[in-house]
Amino acid sequence: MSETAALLKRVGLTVLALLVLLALSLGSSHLNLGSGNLAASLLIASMKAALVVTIFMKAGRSVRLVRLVLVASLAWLALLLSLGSLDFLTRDVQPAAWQVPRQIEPAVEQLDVRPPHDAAKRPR
Amino acid sequence: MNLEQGAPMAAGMGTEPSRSRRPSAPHEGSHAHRQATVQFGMWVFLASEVLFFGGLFLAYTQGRVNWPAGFAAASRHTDVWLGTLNTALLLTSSGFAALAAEFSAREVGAARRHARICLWATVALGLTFLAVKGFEWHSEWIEGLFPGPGFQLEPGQAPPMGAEQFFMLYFVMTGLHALHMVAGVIVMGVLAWRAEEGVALPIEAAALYWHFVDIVWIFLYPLLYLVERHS
Repeated sequence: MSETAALLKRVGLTVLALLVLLALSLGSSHLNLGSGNLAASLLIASMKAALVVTIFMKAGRSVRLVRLVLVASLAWLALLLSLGSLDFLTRDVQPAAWQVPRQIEPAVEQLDVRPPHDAAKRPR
Repeated sequence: MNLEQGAPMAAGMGTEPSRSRRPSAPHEGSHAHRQATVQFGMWVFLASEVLFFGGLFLAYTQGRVNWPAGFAAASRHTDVWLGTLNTALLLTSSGFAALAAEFSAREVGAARRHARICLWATVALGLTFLAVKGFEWHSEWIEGLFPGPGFQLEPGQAPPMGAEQFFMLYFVMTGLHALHMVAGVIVMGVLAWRAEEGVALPIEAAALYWHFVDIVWIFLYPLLYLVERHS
């Protein structure tokens, strides 16, 4: 029975901690922290995920192979997000005013107006 | 006959010395070995799921970097209270899934009954989550927040750049997450039905999956509902 009580206490406290972190996340989003808002919410989300992974999924007490998969998946995710973000995070964006699309007059003198069968007669 | 039975044993014993050097490696065919195999298989599947959702998070990052104002304006049109309620429901359901895995691993009949109750609680919380999510989608559809020709944030006003992209990602990400929830609810329901037949390993695997779906939502919640709530 005491074993069950200990289990209920462990899981109950974890759920309570998760709900407190949820309240913190919601509360922090209503304060103006500038870019700190995003940092705070991602930090709190990572803490919640860490609680779930370590206590509910018992990643620390699993076989070594499982921990390897966990680390590898995080490494792949980091690769995906970092290499995938390289382009748009480093691109120099120069905003321009919106221009109405319009048809540009064709430059007639530059066009090759010979019919297609003439093209076949051209020396190669 | 003795020889035939003895041969595999001898072969097994022949591998003993190499095993003894790795005390963490469980004996093949034992319960611990089957458990390790189930855990490993589920974790590899979850690693592939990390990358599956990872691509969507990358698309989200790109959109938010390009159109921060549009994403902020669009996010303020999501229902933060229903989103928070759903997060609380899912976090609690993960607790029940963890309890179910622990109880089902015990041999005592009473523990298996507890496992069944916890599995039904997980299913009930999952179904409530889906119902709330469905209600949210319905309201958003009525408000004209679904991307398309009729998309609008405020009636009669052109939406800011990026707002429609936000809602495109919102519906794709929450939709795929809900599909995962539906699969989880079905699996949990079947296992709850069979909880007293001694299905400890499937329950453990299903609980791992459920926790993963929970973690995806843990990150979706601030990114979709809490962008610049203060202004």
